Amino acid sequence: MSESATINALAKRLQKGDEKAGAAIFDRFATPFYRYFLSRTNQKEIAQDLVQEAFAKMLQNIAQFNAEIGNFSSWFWQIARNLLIDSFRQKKPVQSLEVMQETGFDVVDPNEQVQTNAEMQRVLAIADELPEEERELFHSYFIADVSYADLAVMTGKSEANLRVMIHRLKKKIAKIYDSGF
Amino acid sequence: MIQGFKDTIRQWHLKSRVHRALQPEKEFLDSARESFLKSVRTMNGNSTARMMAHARYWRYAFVALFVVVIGTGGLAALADNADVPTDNVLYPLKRVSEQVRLDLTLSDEQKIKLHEDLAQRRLRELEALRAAAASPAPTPVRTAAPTATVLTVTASASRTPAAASASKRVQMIQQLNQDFRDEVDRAIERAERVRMPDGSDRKIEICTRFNQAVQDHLTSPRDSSTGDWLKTRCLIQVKVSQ
Repeated sequence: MSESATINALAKRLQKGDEKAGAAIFDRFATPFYRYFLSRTNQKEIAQDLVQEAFAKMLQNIAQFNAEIGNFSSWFWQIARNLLIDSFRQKKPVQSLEVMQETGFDVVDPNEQVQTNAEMQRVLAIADELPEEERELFHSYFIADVSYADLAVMTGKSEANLRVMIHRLKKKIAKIYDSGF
Repeated sequence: MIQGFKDTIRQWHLKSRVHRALQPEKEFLDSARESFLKSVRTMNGNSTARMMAHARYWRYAFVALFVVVIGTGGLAALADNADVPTDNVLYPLKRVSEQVRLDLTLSDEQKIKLHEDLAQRRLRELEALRAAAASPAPTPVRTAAPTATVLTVTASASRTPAAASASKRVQMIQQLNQDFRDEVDRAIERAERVRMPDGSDRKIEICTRFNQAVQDHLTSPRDSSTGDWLKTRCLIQVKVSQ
């Protein structure tokens, strides 16, 4: 059974109130959602709130999801993206990634190579300067690991088009990085 | 190629580093998980939510039922219109459609006319059935419909299952005889109760018409009981009316 079919089966069980299915869905989506929200808002508290709101909204609308014709993963990512857009509309202050790096994102392994850390900061800083559409693609695809299929639903673009855009985005970031930004 | 390989490794390393840097705190995950599962438990007890989950299936069921009803109604009307023979799979639907037509007819005069038409149909069906039984080879049968409708029952004998037992055919003939009598009875009973606007006696008309029809179509000794019944029925009716 494909991952998409497995998740759809979990969603169907959740519609019937299956708690174990709910736990499995939480474990599958909570961390990618958090990364997505944190990378876009750069604020831990807002990211945490948005994760909880996303799950609450999903549960509120789960009865309307049709597992026969839809993909739960894409549907749920769409909910997450809409919440983020609503959050931006409320004009909550957004920190820059560089400020966040200085003030606090947890470095899990303090023995990590210094070079890699510096590289990561540079790549994130480059991403922070990208146009909105490319920035969203960068955070969704590279940071939150959203699949092409889900991205296609979220952005309304075809998977083929997204593959080309992401390929170009990789080259663009590499070029800026190599030019010594 | 080696450079490309190195780039891929570096990208993967960076990605994994970013993932670890953006890892949610365990305390947050645990508390959010518990809060979410609590909501699931609440939803589980909420019958409205469950009803909404089933609402879609009810919608599908309703649409399917609607399609079946419309489809069956259409087939029944088609079978009735085409006056399908007794060996046709749509024959039971034709009989249902006839009954619906009777139920929907309000005027007494129209009802009498309809009963007469249906009695004529039963006679034609009897004749076709008898012809099919008499000739094993497929033979086109021209019905003697009073409305001049020519119904060619092509290969009616072959459509009647070859293995159909004689007793089944006899049963069908008996049933059609009975149905014919019922239709004539109802027509006569209704004619008895209703005074026609033109003052004519419909009972005598009906009896005369069906006496002739029975003589024309049911010449077989097997069906003579229907002819005898009709004579008795009509004599009584004529006597009463006089």
